Amino acid sequence: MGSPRLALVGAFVGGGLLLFAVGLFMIGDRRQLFTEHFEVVADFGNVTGVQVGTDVRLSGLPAGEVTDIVIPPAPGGRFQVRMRVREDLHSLVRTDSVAAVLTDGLLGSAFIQIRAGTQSAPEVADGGQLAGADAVQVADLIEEGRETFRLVADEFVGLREQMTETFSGLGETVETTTLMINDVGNDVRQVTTVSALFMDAARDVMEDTHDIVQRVSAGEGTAGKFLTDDALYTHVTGMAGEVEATLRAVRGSAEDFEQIVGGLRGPESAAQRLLVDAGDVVTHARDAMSDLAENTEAMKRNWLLRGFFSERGFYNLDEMTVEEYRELLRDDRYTPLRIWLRADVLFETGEDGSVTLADGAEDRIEEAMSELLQYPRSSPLVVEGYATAGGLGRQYRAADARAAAVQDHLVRTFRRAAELTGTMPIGPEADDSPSGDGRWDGVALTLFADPELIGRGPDAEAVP
Amino acid sequence: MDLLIAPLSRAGHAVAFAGRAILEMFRPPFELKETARQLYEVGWRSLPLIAVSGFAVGIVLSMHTRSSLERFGAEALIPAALMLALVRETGPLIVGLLVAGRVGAGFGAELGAMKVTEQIDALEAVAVDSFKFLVVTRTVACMLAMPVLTTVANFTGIVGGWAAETAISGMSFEAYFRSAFSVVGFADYIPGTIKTIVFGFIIAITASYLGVHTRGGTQGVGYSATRSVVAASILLITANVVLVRLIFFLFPESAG
Repeated sequence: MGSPRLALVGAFVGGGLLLFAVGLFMIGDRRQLFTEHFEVVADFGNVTGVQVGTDVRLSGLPAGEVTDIVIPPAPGGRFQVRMRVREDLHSLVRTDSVAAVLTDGLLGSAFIQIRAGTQSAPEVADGGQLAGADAVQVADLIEEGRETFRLVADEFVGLREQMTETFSGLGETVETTTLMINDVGNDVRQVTTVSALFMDAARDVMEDTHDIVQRVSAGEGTAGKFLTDDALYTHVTGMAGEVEATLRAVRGSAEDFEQIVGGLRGPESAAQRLLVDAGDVVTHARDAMSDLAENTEAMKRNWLLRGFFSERGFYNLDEMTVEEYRELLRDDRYTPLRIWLRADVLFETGEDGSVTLADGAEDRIEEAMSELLQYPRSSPLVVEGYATAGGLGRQYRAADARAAAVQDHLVRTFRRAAELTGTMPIGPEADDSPSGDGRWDGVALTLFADPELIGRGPDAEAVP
Repeated sequence: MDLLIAPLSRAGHAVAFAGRAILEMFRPPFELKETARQLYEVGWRSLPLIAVSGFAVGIVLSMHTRSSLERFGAEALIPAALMLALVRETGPLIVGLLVAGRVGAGFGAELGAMKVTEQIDALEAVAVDSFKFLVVTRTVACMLAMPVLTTVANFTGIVGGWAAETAISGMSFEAYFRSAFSVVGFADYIPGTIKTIVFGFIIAITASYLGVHTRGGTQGVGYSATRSVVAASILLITANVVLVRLIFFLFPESAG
C-alpha cells in the first residue's frame, strides 16, 4: 500500500475526528462549558419543563444553564433551582433580579429568564439567592381565556336585553305618537264641525233676511200703508233688530272661531305644544330609526352578516319611485310572476271615494293567489295599484286605495307577513298589461320568486 | 428437528465467529497495513456516496420539517429539528444501510471468491492467520470508518438542510449552523455517533462470516454477496432498536 493511500486514510480519520470535535465544540459552546461561570439559586413553586441543562437567559441573552434542582423536603415547599451563569454577565445580575420560568412560544421548551437588576442594588454573590417568579401555564391562560369568553358572552346577553328594551320603548313611543296625533286630529275635527254649524246658522239668517228684504221690496206699492202702519213698522223694525242681533252673534261666533284657530296657531297654545311634543317624539323616533338604519348598514358591511343581507336584497317600497320599481321588475335576481285583476269586478267605490272590496272579490283574489301559493311564503309579494279615471292625483289615490285594500285582505286571509307584502300605487300605465293598450285599471299581484325555483322567465297572466 | 437445530447451530457458529473477532482485535500481530488498506476501501472510497447521500437527505428532511413546522409558525425550529433528527437516528441509520450495501456486498464477494478459489487455504499454508488477516482487519476498519462516515453524513446533511432553507428564507450559514446546534446535547450527539461502531462491527462480521463460509463455485460467491447485504441490513436495523433503548437507559436526557 503506497504512502498516498496512507495519507488519504490519515486524512479520512483525522478529518472525521476534527468534524466530530467541531460538533462537540458547538454543543459545548452553546452550553457555555468553556467560559467562566458563577452560580445563583432561585426558588420556584412550579418547575414545569425545567430540568438539568435547561437554558438560562439574562434579558433574552443566552447566559447559562440549570445545574441542579433540589426537591423541597415537604409539601408546600419550593423547588430550589441552581443555575450556572456566565461570569461576564455578573455585573447585570443584582440582588433585586428576578428569575422566572418561561416558555419559548407555545411549542417551545421551558427556559429560565433572569431579569437584569437595578443600578442601586449590589451584584449578587456567587451562590447567591434570586427571587423566583412561577411559570405561567398554558392551562392557566386557557382558564383565563374561558373566563374572558364568559364575560364577553354576558355582555352580549346584556346588550341584547338592552336592545329589546329599546325596541319595545320605541314601539311604545310610536304608539303614543299615533295617539297624540289622533287626539290633535279629533280637536281639529271638532273645531271644524263647530264652525261648520256656525256657518250653517249664519247662512239661514242671511237667507231669512234676504227673503224679508225681497218681500219689503215687493210691497213698494203699499209704501204709504207701510209708512203709516205702526204695527207693521214696529214689526219690521223688530225684525231688523233681530237680524242685527243674529249678525252680531254670527260675528261673535266667527270671532270665537278665529280665536280658537288663533289659539291653535299661537306659539304657546296647548295644541301647539302638543304638536311640538309630537314633533319631538317623531324626531326622536326618526333619530332612533336612523341609528338603527346605520347599525343595520354597518351590519351589512360586516363580513359575517354581509352574505345574509345581500342574498335577501329586500327593498323598502316606500323609498322607491315607480320608475325604480319598474327596474326592480327587470332585476335578474327575481322572476316577477304577475296576475292582473280588473277593478270593475274587484272594487266598490263609495260616494266619498273610499274603496272597498266588492262582493265576490275575495273569491277572485283567492283564485288568483292559488296560482302563487306554490312558491315560498318568504317570496316578496307586491300589490300594484292601477287606476285610469280622473287626473293624476285621483289616479294615485285610487291606485293606492285599491292596492291597500287587496294587501289588507292578503295579510288577513293568507296570513302573509306584512313586511313581505307591499303596495305600489303606479297609476294608469302598465306596459305589459293584458289589455294590450299599455294601461290597466285594477291591481296586479306580483310575486318576486327565486328564478331557480321557477326556471322560466317573467310570466303574465290575466284573471278577469 | 433438524430444521430447528441447523439455523440455531449456524447462529451459534456466527456468534462464536464474532466473539473470536473481538478477542483477536486485541491480540498481536495487529496487521496495521492491511487494516489501513481496508480503511481506505471502506472509509475513503465510501466518502462520495455518504457525502452526497447525507446532503440529499438533509435537503429532503429540511423540506419535510418545514412543511410540518410551518403549520405551527415554528419555522425557527427547522435547523434544530433537522439536526436532532440527523444526529440521533437518520444519519447513523442511513450510513449503516449504505455501508451495509456497499461494503457488505464487497466483503461477501471478495472473501467468498477467496474461499472458492482456495486462496484462504493458501494463506494458511504460508502460516498467515487468515482470520486475523482477512476478518479482523476488515472489522476494525469498518468500526473505525463508520463514526467518521456518520459525522460526515451529519455535516453534509446540515449543509443540505441549509441549502434548502436558504433558498426559501435566505438564512445565513452561520445562523443556521448555530441554530442547528442550539438544542442538540452531548447525549444526542455522542451516543448517536458511537453506536455506529457497533453497526460497523455487525456489517463486517456478517459479511465476513458469510464470505468465508461460501460454498460452491461462482454462484456461491454471488449468493454470499447478496446474503451479506440482506443479513447485515436486517441485523443492523434490529440491533438499532436495542441500541436506542440502551442509549435512553444510559443517557436519560437524550430521551427527552
